[in-house]
Amino acid sequence: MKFTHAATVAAPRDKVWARLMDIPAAARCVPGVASVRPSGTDKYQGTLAVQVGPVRLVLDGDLVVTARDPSSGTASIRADAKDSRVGGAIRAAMDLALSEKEGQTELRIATDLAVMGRLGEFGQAVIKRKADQLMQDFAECLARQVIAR
Amino acid sequence: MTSVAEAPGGVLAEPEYRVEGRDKVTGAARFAADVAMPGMLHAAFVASPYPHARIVSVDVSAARALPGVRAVLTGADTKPQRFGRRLQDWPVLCSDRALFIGDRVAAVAADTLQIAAEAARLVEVEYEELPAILATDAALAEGAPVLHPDAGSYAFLGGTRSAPPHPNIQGHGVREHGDVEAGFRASFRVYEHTFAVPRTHQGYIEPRAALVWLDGETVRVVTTNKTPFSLRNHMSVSLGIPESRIVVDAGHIGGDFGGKGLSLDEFALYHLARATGRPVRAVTRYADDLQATNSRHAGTITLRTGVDRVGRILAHTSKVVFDGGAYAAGKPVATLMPGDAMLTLAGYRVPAARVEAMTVYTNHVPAGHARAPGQPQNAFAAESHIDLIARDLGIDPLELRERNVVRPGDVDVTGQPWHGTDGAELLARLRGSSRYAPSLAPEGRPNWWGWGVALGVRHVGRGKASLVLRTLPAGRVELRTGVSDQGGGAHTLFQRIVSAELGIGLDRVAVVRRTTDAVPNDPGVGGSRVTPVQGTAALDAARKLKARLAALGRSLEDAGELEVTGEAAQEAHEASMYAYVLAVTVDSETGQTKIEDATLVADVGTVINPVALRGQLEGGFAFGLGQAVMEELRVEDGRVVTANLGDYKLPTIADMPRLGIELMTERPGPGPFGAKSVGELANPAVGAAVANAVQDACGSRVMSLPITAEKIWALLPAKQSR
Repeated sequence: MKFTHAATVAAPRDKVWARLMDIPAAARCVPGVASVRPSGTDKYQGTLAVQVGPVRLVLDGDLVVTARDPSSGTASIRADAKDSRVGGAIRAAMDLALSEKEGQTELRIATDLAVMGRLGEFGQAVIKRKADQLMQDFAECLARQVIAR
Repeated sequence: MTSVAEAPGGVLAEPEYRVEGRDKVTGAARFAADVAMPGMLHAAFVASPYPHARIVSVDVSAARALPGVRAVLTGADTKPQRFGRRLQDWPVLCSDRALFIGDRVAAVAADTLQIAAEAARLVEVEYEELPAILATDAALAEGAPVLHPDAGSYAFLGGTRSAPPHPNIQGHGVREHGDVEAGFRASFRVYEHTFAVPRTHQGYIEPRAALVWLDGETVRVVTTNKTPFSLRNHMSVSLGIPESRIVVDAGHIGGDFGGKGLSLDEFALYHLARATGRPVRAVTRYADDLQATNSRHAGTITLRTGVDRVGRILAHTSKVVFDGGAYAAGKPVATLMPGDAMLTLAGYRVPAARVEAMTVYTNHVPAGHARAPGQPQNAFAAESHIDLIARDLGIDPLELRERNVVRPGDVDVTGQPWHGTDGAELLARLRGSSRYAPSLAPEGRPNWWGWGVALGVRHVGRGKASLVLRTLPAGRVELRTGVSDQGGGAHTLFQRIVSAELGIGLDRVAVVRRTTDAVPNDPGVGGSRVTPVQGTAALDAARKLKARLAALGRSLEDAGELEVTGEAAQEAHEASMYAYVLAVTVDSETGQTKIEDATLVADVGTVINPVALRGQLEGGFAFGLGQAVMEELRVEDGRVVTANLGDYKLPTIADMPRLGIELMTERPGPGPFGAKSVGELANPAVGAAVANAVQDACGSRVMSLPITAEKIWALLPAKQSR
């Protein structure tokens, strides 16, 4: 499943970049993220609790920054997480890109999401709607945090 | 052959009442999932989340430690056993590699379904992902991984498998007749089109279920499999148990539509029952039924046809490539292709043709049989192709069909003389009974309104069967059969045939189904077989009983205890034809289609069950309509993404238009009293009829199924005009 999200932050690109690359802090902008701890170089471990339709999932997993380029304002993140209650896993490859225009920064996130096991039986529309909502909340929260700093 | 005139008319004209109808509406009918045994355990499976992966390790210790878990088995416990209807290539449980998402790696038996499901979650499988084959051309590309390197060691039932031209090919066939090149050279025009058809599911209401236990030395199986004697054979070969020690009980089946000839669970359930000494039941969740059983083949079909100036077919070639998925186990035919994979221009006079078809291994959900296997795909391609040719030549599409349709004795695409419906007569009836108003120009009719025509053919079922008829006190008789009730009305059919032949009331004929140990061998439901084959055996039994009574000089009332075995061997190559005219409107802003009017003319021979026959034709249309406009088992990166009945859309009664049906009954078939087959007669041509009507209405030619509003809208040639 591929989708793209975009949000505009009223701050210069380097400020947004710095916030974005503070992964534990940025991750807290995703509603339902319980904890994100470093577990190695560019590696993090975390938990996301999320309600999809009638089902509550607790996704435990790893997040790896696989590429980052401050000069172009792009980064790639890979996330692997498992839910042991419903049974299943997700795997997400995210490409983040920041671009500045007239003092504002546009954040674009392109996600390729694979849903495995029983989690995959949820309707695509349900998963996509949930992902849309999470990413939108994330982008808005990030924008607020950058401005508040 | 019995002519229609000889058929005893009285009983066949009686109203039809389903033998099993009362049990079904009162809830007394017992389906496989209803059956429970004392001490019964529940099974759950661990399935691969990867389309292709090496199984590095399986740790079952946490699952085994869970209270209430009675057994956890892995591929190490069941290898090298594999199962299948013809080629036994599907492992009971995977031991070294998993070949599709949903492939089973471990099986659990526990006190409750909840404990079994929890234990399945606790099984830790370490996988090493392997490159997956997710397209048929990738399977045949150089350097593609070979999915079944040990294919030579697999059992092939009833013969020897001919070596496929490529290790990733399941089945392959080429058939040629006439001088194809000369035909193309002589052609005024040559047309080539390529069509795509998706995977679809059979869409039965009842998911698969099975219960297995050991009764001393005997293995007892309650199942939704519609071919219980075949399952007995498959289990015998796979598990190495003599058939005499396996008893299969397949009673009421909640819909089959071709999919339930393949059993998956019964083999692992046997091992679980043996490991625990308890009966073990599995009821498939519908999501698993959609993702991991055997769907209809997706494929790509390329047709090339040469015609003369007036549109007569001179030569035809075709190439059909079906995605067979990870295992060929679902296909019962020796070619390891869907039954009519090579019938690419059915119903036409074809003086020269070269047809090639194949099924290819991929890391997708396996493909097997579904109502009229291979035909919805090929009929969609052929009837769209014929329409495109007609439109290009400026000939009315129905008229082009009239110029080419087969008549008895003509050579068709198989290279054989046609034995069946007079196609010209059928199309004349269609013209008369529909409101078809041919017009290649839209003037004079409402905007966005179009007509679509499509025809189809289906063989009358062949094969051997036997059943038992015995006398009961008070002039009654009882017919004992191994034919399951899968909803088609088989038992009612037998009752009406016996009643008609013996000249006694329907209430004096009881029909009972028995398990595989209590009745003679039966080929099961499928292949359009029940009416012409098992129906003929019922007629034979009635005739034998009559002859016996005559020889003894007794009447049925004082017959005493008599028992006869009715037999049938229907080997005649007969075929029936049907054709549709649909009127469709297209919404100019959304591309949404609505079928305004539908006419079906079908050659059915003698009618034995008038209500069931109509039900089969109406149901066939609804089934075809679903595949025409909404059904698609979508797969992304190897995963079925329409894994629930919200995303996998099936038609309902609200989607059905008015359907006018005209029956052709004059020409008798090889079945009892001149009956033919109708169960798989009406569904394949619906897709093309809709596609043809859509183009007629708005100019959009959709080359793939399903014909969705989105596809139509994207193709609208002039979105504002008209």
